[in-house]
This record gives sequence, C-alpha cells and structure tokens, in this order.
Amino acid sequence: MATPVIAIAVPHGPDSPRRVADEKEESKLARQYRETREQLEAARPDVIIELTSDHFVNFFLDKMPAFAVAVVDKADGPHESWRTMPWYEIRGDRKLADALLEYSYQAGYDLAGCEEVQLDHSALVPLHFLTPRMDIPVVPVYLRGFAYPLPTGERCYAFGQMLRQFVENYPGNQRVAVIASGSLSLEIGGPRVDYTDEEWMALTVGAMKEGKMSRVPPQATGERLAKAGNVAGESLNWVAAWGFLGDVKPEMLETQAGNAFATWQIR
Amino acid sequence: MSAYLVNKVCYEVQRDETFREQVRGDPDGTFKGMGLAPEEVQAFKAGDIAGLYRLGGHPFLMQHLWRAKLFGLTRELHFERIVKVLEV
Repeated sequence: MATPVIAIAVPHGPDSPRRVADEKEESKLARQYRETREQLEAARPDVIIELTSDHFVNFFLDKMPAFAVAVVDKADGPHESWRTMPWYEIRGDRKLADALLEYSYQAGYDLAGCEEVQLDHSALVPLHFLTPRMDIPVVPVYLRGFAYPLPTGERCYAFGQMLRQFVENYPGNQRVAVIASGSLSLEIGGPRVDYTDEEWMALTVGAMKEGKMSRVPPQATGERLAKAGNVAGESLNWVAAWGFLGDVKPEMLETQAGNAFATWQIR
Repeated sequence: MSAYLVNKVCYEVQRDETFREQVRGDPDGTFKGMGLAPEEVQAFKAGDIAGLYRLGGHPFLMQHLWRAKLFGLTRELHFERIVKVLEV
C-alpha cells in the first residue's frame, strides 16, 4: 500500500518567488522555504497531494465546489495575468486522482472531479520552492476557502482523515507527501490592511506546538475565519492536513505574522 | 442588484483580455449587456471601491481592477478607498 511520509504546510505569497530570486542574502523567508524543501527531499516522495484554495482562477462563483480533485496528466500556470513568478507545467497522477475520487464517494465525501484545471499561484508558489524541478507528480485537491459559505472545520478535518485512509489503502508502493498551501490569518485587498488575528494565530499555532490540532476544527467556523481575514479560509487547508496527520507534533514550526511553516515526518 | 455580477466583472477582467478592453472602451454598453444595475455601473465607473465592497464585491477580485488600470484606479487608490468601509 502507499505510504504517507511527510506533511508540510507553507504560505504562498505570489511575490515570494521574485523577492527571493532578487535577494543578495538569504532572508528568513528563503531559509524557511529551503529548510522545508530539504525535509521534503529527505522524505523522497513519489507523489504529492497538494491541498489548496483556488483564488478564483480555476473556479468561479458560477460553479464552486466545496471539495475537488484534479484528475489530470498535467496542468500549468499560474493562469494569472498579473503574475510575477515563473510559468510552470506540472505532472499529475491521474491514476491516484481517479482512485481518490472513487474512494471519496464510497467514504461519503462528494468531491468534484476536474479533468482540466488551470493552476494559480496558491498551487505553484509552494511547488516553486519545494520541488523546483517539478519532477514529482502532483495531485491538486481543492478546498473551498475563498467563497462563502465555507465547508465546516469539522468536515475539512474529517476530509483529511479520509485522505489518510485513502492513502493507506491505495495499492502500490508510492511514498506520498501532503502539502497544505496557504495562510492562517490573512486579509488581501480588504480594509484591514496588514492585519493579523493574533488570537487565531495563538489558537492554531498553540495547538500545533502541543500536537493537539484536533481541538481547532470546531472553532474554524466561517464566522471565525472571516474575523481572521478575508482569505483566512485558507486555514481549512491546514485543518485538512491536521486531519491527515492526527494529533502529532511538528518537527518544524515557525511563524511570521499570519503565516506559518510546519513539517511533520510521518513514520 | 447582484453581488454575483459585480464579482463576475472583476473575475473576467483578469481572465479575459478582450472583455477587459471592452470594459475599458465601453463600460456602459458592456455592463448594460451583462445586466448590471445602475448603481453598480456607477460604482465601477467612479472607481468606488468602498461602494463595490458594499455591493458585495470580494476585495481579492476587486484588485484585478487596479491591476488592469481601469476606472483611474491604482493600488494606492484601491486601499485609500477600501479602508473607508471601516469608518462609522
């Protein structure tokens, strides 16, 4: 059966690739991405399942699923006319994605299946830093984090648990990494400029420090997340990763305002 | 009135270059064709970011307007105007 080997959660600031490329000395941000990449490489994954919230690039309000999986051989992006990061093409894992879709229905989770996707920076910034050669197949899994109503924290946590069961029941020997993309507290373009919800950060980071992330999901309501920032729905990608992991402490945990870098080796 | 249509304008401005230039060249005609309400058309034409927010515009999507240099908007003006929604 497939083996989960590592879970990683990182931010995806769209300007980060350019900032880091332009710097003369390694910044804290660059070091955080580098150390996370080194851990991913040490885990030698064969495939990456990436939990992300599309930024109204692949999905719009006309057809907005709660959960979706990209069942594709490849995808490219970022399909954002204002991008400052490089253009990439990634390989998918159609077989695994298909199997996940079917497993999810059996398990009572009605994912949307997407046989063509346009990637955004939320999918590609983490990959740019963590797997720059783009040589590991990636299965994007989308959680509705940008458009209200949001799926519940409990549902996203349970979704992560389902994902773990899927991986552990998936035939073959693939080593599987999970990457959760996004911030915990963030306001983009909204009136609360440079805002960080310190209470939300204390709750989520505190739970991770103690290895007790299961206490967070009931509090990750749409209302609470809206308070944490207009795009704090990205927290749900973290919540799903926590469901995948269970209550275990991270090897790495660093924070910066409303962002965090975290890694969990899975044995 | 439709928050959906307000957001759709912003979404299509980023996604569709032809639409973007249609909006730039003929906002009245383009918006009328889409079924926007008069107050929505006004808010766009005035670059009234606070007004568009109150009409249900998602701030993330609204940033596509200044990026496209529409309605006289700049990044600075976007933020100057959006913070006004916090004023009592």
